[in-house]
Amino acid sequence: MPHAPLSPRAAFLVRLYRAGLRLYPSAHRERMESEMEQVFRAQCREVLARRSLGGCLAFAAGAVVELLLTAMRERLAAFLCLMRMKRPLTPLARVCWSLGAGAPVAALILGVTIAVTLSLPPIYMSSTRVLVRHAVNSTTADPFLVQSEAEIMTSKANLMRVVEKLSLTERYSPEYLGQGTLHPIEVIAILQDRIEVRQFRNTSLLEIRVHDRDRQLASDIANAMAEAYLQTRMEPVNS
Amino acid sequence: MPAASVNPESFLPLTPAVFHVLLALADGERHGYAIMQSVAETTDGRVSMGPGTLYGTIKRLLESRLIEESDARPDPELDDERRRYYRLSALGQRVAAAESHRYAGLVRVARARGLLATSHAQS
Repeated sequence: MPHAPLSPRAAFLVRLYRAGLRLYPSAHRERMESEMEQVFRAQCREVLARRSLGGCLAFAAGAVVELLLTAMRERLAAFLCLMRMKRPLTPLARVCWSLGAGAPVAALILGVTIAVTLSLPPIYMSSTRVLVRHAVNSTTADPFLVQSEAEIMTSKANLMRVVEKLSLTERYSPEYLGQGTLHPIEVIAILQDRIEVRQFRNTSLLEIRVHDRDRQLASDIANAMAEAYLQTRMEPVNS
Repeated sequence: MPAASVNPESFLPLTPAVFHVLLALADGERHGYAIMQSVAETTDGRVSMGPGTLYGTIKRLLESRLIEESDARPDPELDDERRRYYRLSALGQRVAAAESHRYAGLVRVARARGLLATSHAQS
């Protein structure tokens, strides 16, 4: 009896699975390959007909992991069987065995890395630059001017302005506490973890970089930091 | 070595996958997908075997002669001729029974130590 036709998506998964079956040792493939493909085909038909897209993706990911793990196990079993037979391996055979056993391991590591990377939420980076100059009436040149201004920019007083302007306490409290309100010092500590201020190459420019899961917020924080810094510098210094 | 002279206890304890496959074949021969479905049904979907696990287990069971391929086909007209059916061998029957007795002993111990409710307490 011929196979019942599959949907294009199921047919694609079956083709991938058939390619993955090459990871098994040849003896296992010769004996079981056709049946494994038949069973996978039946599973695909059932799963794709009944489950949502998320369920189908979970099924496909599970199938890949299962295939890689069992392929490794079969390769190891075949290798141990060969060792028990005490047949000396030629150097070429040793290399082939190592590559054969290593391929599923490498594929598994790659698969897990891709899955973890895709499952992580994206983090956006926003940056802005501020030109730092000596005061007009200054008579001496400060060689550490840029570094000093970077310290002012990341000072708690400057960051507090940003926290107040963007209402970051209200924004971060639900994310970190669920219920309750963060102390302003805690909000500043969170902000410090997300910002980076440094001299841009060998210039008098200070670069502010902000990392956040919210693209707009990252941009708002970078701009607010520059504005807060300018505001701080415009204020008269109390001597 | 003749199967009758093999001590079934020497195979114990069985791995869960092996025991599930033997249990699935205890009431008659089945093909691979039917074994997989039977395992899912008898465990309320808690155990799900993929083709890799299933056929690795079947291969080992064939090698240790606990199961064998069946030539009979329930309905050749309706079935895929490439499908293979498997059934328990006489040795497989004895091993499955021995493992079931082992589990029954563990259940008795669990019940005696208050980990399981007795049947009248449940009703």
